[in-house]
Amino acid sequence: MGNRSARIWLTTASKMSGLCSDKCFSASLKSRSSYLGFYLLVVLVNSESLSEWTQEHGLDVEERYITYSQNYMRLTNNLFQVKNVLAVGVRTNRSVLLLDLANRPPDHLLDFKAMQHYMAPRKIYYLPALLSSRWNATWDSIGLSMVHEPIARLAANRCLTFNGHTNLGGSKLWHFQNPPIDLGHWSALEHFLKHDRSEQVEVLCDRASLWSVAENIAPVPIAARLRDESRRILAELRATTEKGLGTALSPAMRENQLRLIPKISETKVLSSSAGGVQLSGL
Amino acid sequence: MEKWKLTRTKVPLERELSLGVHYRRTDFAQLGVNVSTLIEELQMFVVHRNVRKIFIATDAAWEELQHLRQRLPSNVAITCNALSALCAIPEEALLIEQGICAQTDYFLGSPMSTVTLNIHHMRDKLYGKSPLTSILTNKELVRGSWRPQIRLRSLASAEIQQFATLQGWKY
Repeated sequence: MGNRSARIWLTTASKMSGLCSDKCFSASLKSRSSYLGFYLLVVLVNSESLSEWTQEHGLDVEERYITYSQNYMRLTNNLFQVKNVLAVGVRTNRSVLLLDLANRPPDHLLDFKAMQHYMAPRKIYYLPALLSSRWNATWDSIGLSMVHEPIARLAANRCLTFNGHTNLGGSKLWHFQNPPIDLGHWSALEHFLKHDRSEQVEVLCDRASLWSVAENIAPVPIAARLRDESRRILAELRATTEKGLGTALSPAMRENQLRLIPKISETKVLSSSAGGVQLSGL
Repeated sequence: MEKWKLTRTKVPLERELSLGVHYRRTDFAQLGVNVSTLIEELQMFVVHRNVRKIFIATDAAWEELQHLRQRLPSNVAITCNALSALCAIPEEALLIEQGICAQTDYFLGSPMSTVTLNIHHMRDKLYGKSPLTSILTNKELVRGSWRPQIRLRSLASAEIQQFATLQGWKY
């Protein structure tokens, strides 16, 4: 599922499921002859629980999972969120259902093998439920084929929140049958997951708190081709000189530097051949 | 800082060291760092830490980018847009720039920035860089319980002393 050649399911759930509440569903089923009723029937048929969805896609019914309701809108926070969820999954012995990264599959930006290795013996699965058509223009450029598949909104029993926020962010994909459980702070999450195993799939609903943990984050590197490109650029950086940077200073700062540097150079033994600090150029 | 003195001993610096900079702008632009103060810090890295290769990752607006380019030597790389075709896609550009900053000898980051924290984490966990090589441009504004393991001061004398010790210098 995580390979470059993986199929990508493009969901229309956000468009289809956000127009009516559950109460509206039952009412509309009674008038199937109407267009609205037909439309809502389609929505109802396409609705399924998160557990069913995961089983249909080959996930282990005996396994326990953790996922999040919505990814960050910004990539860097998204990466941080993914790493945090991976770390929590490892520490609480749960597999991870990973949502898309900025509308891209995770193996495109992150090293998916590294993520799998980090999660072992638990697993990490890609849950491409929030894909949108925003990046259609770039799919071809990265060699991914897509399968357009109508997908339901995902129904779960509850979601876990922090600091009193639900932060669903307007997503119409999810439907939670019960009110959220406010854990107060991210640090309470692991304790909760270890002691409450009533849910097969736990969904984290809070986006704002996901970055509040800054230790023991999963060390997941970026994809190899991006890493190699960064190494190439780093290797090809051209060296600058102190003199060049000295001219970049404002007159006041340059004066400060000149006051500081002679105090150092008075006692420092300069050696131009050793590649050491060159102070005389200023 | 005015009192410290450097004396070269046995271990010479054979290699030109590199510095990655994450110069966070937009909504972080009011945290006290501007082009002038950034250049001053770069100058200190060059003078005191033998840094010769500098890469700056930034989300600065076009006007500030031009200001930065005008005041820095052309050898200083600012963003990767002109260095790689992959950087045409914003997400890839960001990760490539993070990758560069994660592998440089020193890293100068912006406080409160998730990108900075991510780079610092990559340096620490993936590349085995010393936490002392990650430095923030200005004092960290701690919000809530989020306390990154990054030095809160830039080029403090204790850091310079430790660096000099590692390099075989005495002062």
